[in-house]
Amino acid sequence: MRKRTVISLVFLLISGVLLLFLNLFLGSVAIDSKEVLYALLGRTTNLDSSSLIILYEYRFPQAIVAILAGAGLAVAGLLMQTLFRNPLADPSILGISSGASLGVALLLFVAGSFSGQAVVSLGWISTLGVSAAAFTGALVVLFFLLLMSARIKQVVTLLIIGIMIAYLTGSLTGLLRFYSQKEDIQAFVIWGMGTFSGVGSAQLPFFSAAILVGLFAALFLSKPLNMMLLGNRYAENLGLNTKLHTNLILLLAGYLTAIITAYAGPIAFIGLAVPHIARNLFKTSDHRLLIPASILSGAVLALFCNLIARLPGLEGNLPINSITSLIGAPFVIWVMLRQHKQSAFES
Amino acid sequence: MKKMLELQQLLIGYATSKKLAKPLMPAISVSLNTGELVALTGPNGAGKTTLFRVISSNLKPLQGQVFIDGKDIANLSARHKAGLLSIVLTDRVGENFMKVYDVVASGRYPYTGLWARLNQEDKIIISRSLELTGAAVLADRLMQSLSDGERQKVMIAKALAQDTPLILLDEPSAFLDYPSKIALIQLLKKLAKDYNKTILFSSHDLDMIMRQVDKLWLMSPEKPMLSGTPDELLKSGKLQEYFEMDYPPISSVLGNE
Repeated sequence: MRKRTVISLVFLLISGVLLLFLNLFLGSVAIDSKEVLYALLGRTTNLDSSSLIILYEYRFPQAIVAILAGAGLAVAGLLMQTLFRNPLADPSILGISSGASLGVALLLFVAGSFSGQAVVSLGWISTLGVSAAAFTGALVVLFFLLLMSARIKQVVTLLIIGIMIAYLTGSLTGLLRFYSQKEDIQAFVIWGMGTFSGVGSAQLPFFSAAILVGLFAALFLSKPLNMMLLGNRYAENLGLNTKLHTNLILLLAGYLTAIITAYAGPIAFIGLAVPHIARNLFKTSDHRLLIPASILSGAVLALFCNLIARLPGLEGNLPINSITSLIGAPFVIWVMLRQHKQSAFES
Repeated sequence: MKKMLELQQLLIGYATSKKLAKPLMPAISVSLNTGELVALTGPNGAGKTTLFRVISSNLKPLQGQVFIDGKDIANLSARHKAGLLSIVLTDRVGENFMKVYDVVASGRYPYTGLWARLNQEDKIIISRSLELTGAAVLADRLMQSLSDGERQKVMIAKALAQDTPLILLDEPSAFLDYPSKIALIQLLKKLAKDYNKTILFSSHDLDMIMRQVDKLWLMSPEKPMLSGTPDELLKSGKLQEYFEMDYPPISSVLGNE
């Protein structure tokens, strides 16, 4: 392995572990770091029961969700950027997350107008219902895209259709919101801000397994993705079934986006920014390295954003969506400017 | 001599529906022998790129068959075809951080496994391809830093790494300056003569290809495709006939009498 690869990997791993622990220690309630370590290692601790509940029921699931959502969105973004050979593509570009938003808006509107009361007043049923609605909305859009993909020849047409779907679902969502209950509109706005704390410890195993399967599957697409980076005609000439692999890539990116959006809301920016960060950090276009690099960078960035959103002294959680862009955008600009200065040679 | 590429009663063109198929020219029946260097030429719009797309299975023929090394390509798997025919296109290759060596190594994809790991033999073939095209000095460079001539060499090296008996090049001299064009055609000639590659390329550089190629394939819209040595086609007057177009008189274009 190249020196740069090793250094970058070590850097990401160390910052990942460090950020994970900071995510467990820091928050509106301070928990002693030594005790947290003891608890995690399974030794007896002096932590009282409320601290343990905070640790196991809130902070630990939240950190895991941040890691997996960050990694999943990063990989979904990378898949989209390679498929469309477009640096501005991200998981939301094909309208999959707008589909999720529409699903949620539909649920809030329909349920609200039939029962006459706000859905949010229904407690935990509403949380689960929102996840299910978001997932369904995302899947409907994904299914429609796969249908379209079978009919068209050029991948750029698919991109345009996807963007149109995003507009379409966006405007429908706007209309539904207009007619919804006041409390539900607020719930919708909060859902739209994104959060890593929407997965309770009961659903954590399911969420984790679903994302891990997706990430693992992405690794097996490394070679086809490398071929597609050369352009579809070269990929075909090298023996790749481009039609099949276009659909596999769509399916996988859509699957990851749908699950993450269902639980964490439409989280912006990570999917767009992280592949660029990974490419520039590792200076490679090889997906065999780029996929693990995106997984690690996505996890680290998400943990960092989650930490900032929950800084001690702040009341409650800040919206993740604002934090990801706030931190991510300047970082990407900096990375791009640095790349611009470097010579064309391998460093 | 062995026939490497054979087109039988091939009708090419684009069909809006099955009934409205509109072939670009009468059926083509020609063949290429192993080790031949052949240029496909003709005015713009004659169907050169369309024919290339059909031979490389990017487009289905309206009718007829394409045989490579005696096998009908309609019955071959994508992977099998990848071992028979390699292509060099005018499309620009080179996303961020794509290294020359990796692009040439991609020629080995049809032979590698799931992780595209290169064995010793693959590596030898890659460095030989780089040497042969004179691209060895570029191996560590990034694709985006190359000139058009260098880029062309790299893509030819990739085709060589694919280790196919037949190589197709679409307008390889299009963006090159004169010395690079000469170097390119000499490289193609060397590959055909010394390495027994069968090479078909399209080109508008008549002056240069006339003296270098073994055969010309001559195309013009709606006329039957002709195959012959440059000499034959020149002496029979066909070359002139096929390139003659109904240009509007210059004076009327410029607006002065």
